[in-house]
Amino acid sequence: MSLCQNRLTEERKQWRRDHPFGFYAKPHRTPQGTLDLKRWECGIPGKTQTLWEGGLFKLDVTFPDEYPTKPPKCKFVPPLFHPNVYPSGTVCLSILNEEEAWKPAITIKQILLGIQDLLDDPNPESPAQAEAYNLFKKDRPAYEKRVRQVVRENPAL
Amino acid sequence: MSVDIPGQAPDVQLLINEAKTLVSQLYDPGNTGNPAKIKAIQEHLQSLQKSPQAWLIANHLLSDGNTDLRFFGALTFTVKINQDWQSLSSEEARELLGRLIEHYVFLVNGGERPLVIRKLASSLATIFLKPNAPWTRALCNLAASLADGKHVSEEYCKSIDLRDAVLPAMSERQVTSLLYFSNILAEEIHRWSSEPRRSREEHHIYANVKDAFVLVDFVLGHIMRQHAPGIPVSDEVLGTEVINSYQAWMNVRSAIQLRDSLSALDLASTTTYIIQSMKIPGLSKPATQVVVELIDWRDSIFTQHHLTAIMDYVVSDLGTAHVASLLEADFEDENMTFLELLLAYATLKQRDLLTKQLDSQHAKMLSLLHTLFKAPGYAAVDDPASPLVLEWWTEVADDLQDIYLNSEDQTGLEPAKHNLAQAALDCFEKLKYPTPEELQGWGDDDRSEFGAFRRDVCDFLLAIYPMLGVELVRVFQEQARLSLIQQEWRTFEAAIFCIAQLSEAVDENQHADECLNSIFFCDEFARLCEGNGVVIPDKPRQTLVDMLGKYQSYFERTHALLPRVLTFLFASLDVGSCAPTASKSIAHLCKSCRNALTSELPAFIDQFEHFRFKPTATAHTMEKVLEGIAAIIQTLPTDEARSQILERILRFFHGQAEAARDEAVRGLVEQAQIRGQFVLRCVASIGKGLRTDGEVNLDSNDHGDGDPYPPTFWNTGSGAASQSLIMQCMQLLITDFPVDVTVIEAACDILKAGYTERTGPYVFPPMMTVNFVKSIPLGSAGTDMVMGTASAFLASHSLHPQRIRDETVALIVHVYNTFCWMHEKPDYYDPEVANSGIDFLTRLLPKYHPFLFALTTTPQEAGQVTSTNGGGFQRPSVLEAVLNFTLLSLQGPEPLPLRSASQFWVSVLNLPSDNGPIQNAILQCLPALCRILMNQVAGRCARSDLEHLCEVLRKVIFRQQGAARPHLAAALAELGGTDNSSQHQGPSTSPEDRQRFLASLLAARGARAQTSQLTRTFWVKCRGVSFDYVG
Repeated sequence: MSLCQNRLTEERKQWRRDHPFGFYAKPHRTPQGTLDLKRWECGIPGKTQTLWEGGLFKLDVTFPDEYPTKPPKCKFVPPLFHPNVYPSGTVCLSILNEEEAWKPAITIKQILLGIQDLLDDPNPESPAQAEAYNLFKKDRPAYEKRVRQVVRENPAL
Repeated sequence: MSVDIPGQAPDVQLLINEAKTLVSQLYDPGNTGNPAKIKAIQEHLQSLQKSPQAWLIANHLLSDGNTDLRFFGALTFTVKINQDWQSLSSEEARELLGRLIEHYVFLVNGGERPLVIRKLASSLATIFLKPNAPWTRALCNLAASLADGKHVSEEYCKSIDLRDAVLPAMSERQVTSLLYFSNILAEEIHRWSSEPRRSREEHHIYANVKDAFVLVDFVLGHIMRQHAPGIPVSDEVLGTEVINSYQAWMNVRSAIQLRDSLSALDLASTTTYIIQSMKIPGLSKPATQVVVELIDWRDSIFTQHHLTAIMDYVVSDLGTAHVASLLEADFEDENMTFLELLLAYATLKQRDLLTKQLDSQHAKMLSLLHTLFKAPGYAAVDDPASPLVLEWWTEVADDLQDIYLNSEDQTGLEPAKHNLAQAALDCFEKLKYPTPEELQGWGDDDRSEFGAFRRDVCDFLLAIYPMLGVELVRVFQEQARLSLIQQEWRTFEAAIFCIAQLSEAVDENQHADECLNSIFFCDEFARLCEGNGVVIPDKPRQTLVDMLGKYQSYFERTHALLPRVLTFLFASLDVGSCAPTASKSIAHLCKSCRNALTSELPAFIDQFEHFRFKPTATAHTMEKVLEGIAAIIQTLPTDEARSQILERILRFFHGQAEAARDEAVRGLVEQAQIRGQFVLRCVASIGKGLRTDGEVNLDSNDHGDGDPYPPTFWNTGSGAASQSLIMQCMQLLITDFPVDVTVIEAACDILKAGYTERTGPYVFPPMMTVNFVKSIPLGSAGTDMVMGTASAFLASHSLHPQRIRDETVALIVHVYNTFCWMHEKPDYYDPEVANSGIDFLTRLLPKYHPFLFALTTTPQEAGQVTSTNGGGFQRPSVLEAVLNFTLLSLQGPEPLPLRSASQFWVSVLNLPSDNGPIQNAILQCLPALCRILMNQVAGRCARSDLEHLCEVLRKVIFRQQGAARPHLAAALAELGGTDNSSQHQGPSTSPEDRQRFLASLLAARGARAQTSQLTRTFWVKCRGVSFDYVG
């Protein structure tokens, strides 16, 4: 088995053994029923006592052949209204950038927790979509209203 | 160092007394409610522990009569050893060790509490791992000292035999205390081994590992001789301690790679004892945990003999008693640990279990794996066993799939398939959703856990489908059908849930159509849909609605079912939990099967009119329903028929728009906004639904200067009433209305609905878009969408730009005005307006650039601007102002305008090079552009801006190298000048560095990877290396 596959098998074991409450993460199953270890379907719950509480946001995580040397790509499906999420849904976060803070030791659990943190704590330094960024910067009440709507459309239960 | 107390200076005695007082205060229950005081005491004690007199204090406290003080004494030794080890001479180190062993022996024999013994053991283990520690066979030495009742020298240990001479001479209390030390030593060595070290040999670990296993073997052997299986152990502490010891030293063995020097065979008898311990009540749980961990490691510590012994135990009466307890809802740790053992062992043997002829033991094991789903209670909420068993079955299914897909002879897999099908049925019972009454007692966590279990079952079903095929669907179909007839709704819900989960596998390929037909064509289903005497509770209704949404392809090819299914979906709109999904399915099915539904339209309109006053009729659900209905309207044979129904629907929204406006007038702003959003979103979605099915077919031969808004049925015929209602809704809710971002978004969608159509109620006069854009106040949130709509408008006319020349120019002038305004009044600068304006200009460049580059004069209405002090000034030409603004944005602090300006310049530089006006404009801007780019990449811009600026730089070099070169060189030369203009701090680069940078850039000729790499390196160099990312 390749390094990538080995590591992903190990990540899967670790996740089953111990994962944060309300999250899910598992390899994608193709319509033919086989598992694709290099594509995971994950769910990130909004943190309690934040605007995002009560929401569960679906995320596709795709691992390149060079993983864990290179980071996975994380994409919200459907794309999420958030200043640091590209219109395509791809998450812009330093730990997911090979040229920034990615390290091979970062686990899937850490990635998902990192993205959960990002939800309520956007980084205005690196906007990824104009819509959420502009609203966040200039009309916070409207931004918050939108977030609440997004949460309603993606309920956890 | 000297720990002799006689003759001590009085100040030491003072410190000892102080420590005693502080410790007694620390443990005084009266102080527990005072964290500040506790903190102060702790800080004070810590400073004492680090003081030069700490050796004396520790030694004294360890001999005190009070347990708390002795504990603190032991702790102080550990602290002090860690702090001052290096300063001890080898003589002092030996003396310290001897003294601590003396204490250990004395305390153990005096009946000391485990808490203090363990703390002292930890001080000893700390010494063992210190550099040049005077201790090699620590375990043996401590054992001999305990046996002798005093500290004996290491030299003495060389001549004695631990197993035969020392251990038999020790009391049970002494052995237990030796195990305390052994376990702490193992943990410390394990921790130490994971840190990078110079040499692993310096601590003589191997000899101690051997001694440790001798100790474990000796103690376990002793226990085994005294206990037959099933007889509870007499001393649980000793038993647990020795099993933990085995595990702790196995960890050390694997961490420091002693597998060869201490083989599985060497440890075989000890391992046998561990396996036997599983049968002894009191030891069973820790022993089982160790065995499970070792199985999981796949460390091959077990011989065939061991594995047989484990199997014997699992299926023995002792073992299956645990399963019986689980089936009686006793999920105590012991039983759950047994379950883990069963699953771990079954994982080792999973292929054999499912594909080979089974002996009676293995057959029994397999039957346990089915039975375990029968524990009472809700999975994951009451019953923690089912999720683990399910996980096992899913892993098995994944593994079997590999064999299944690669094997030609399937006959050998029949038993496996049979078992998987059985497991699916086993967990079917576990899927049944709680009754509403039960659900009331559940917290959010319970719901979420149960939901996760159901999701895992779905994963399992998809994993076995490839092997079982349609047979699997048939099982659930039969359940669904039968429970529907009997109105057994919880079973029906579970069956429908399973079928829904399998949609991914069967919806597209028709494999399961027969099964689905048998459910949906039955009379009971028809009656359910018609609401004819069958009342379905909310939860199964919700699951059924979800399921219908997942089988879109099936319903698309089974038109006969559409009327009843849609009737059911419309009825489900009244139920809050169903409305969102039901409305989505309505939209989808009506759109994709619109031609088959024309005759149903009157019935659907009736249902819509019933629905629109319900509390579940929100903007979200209504817009979906309307989109579906509008799609069917689009299939009516004549415009006349369409306009009649549309008008009826639109009148309702027109009334709502007036109501919203009335609310706004009365100051009910929020209410007005909500109603306004509702109206516009619904009107927009009608437009979306009305769009013609299929490809947009704009006439490509139609290039002339024709009328962009020719007369049609919808603007001059009787359809004009509908169009007028839409335009009035917009007018009522945009002009002088408290617009917010959602209102703007919906209005944009209304405009966009007609852009892809040749004719229809949503094809408006072109000036309507221009007026809308101009009517949005500067600085409103949503400007981005407004300018996106303006671009969509231009794109819809891109085959004949000339026809909308006036509108295009008006839009450009609008952008120009906003740019000038923000430039003149920096307080009004809005990055969104800047960004969206520049984006708009970038998007118009490919088709409409001649209009922009011809705007070399100042528009008349904007020409004269009166400044606040009364003086007037002349605004620059449109082109000049626009280009200037984008250049300023390239060096501004806002990231989005910087990015869009970069994109703008990339597009400008890509325009045809044979166009005079464009080239003139570029050449005029080139010096400023080069200066800005060089300044920015020389460390001024943010790191995330680099890639965008780099794209412009590439284009400049690729398309304009000759002209740009001197400007780039001049800009770089200015960088390191004597002035202080450069804003960023950090080391400046040398002129040679900069020349080399330019030469390399030019040599790269705009190649992406190279240019990007060079620029990044240069940026980091200018900023200083501390800005480079680590690693």
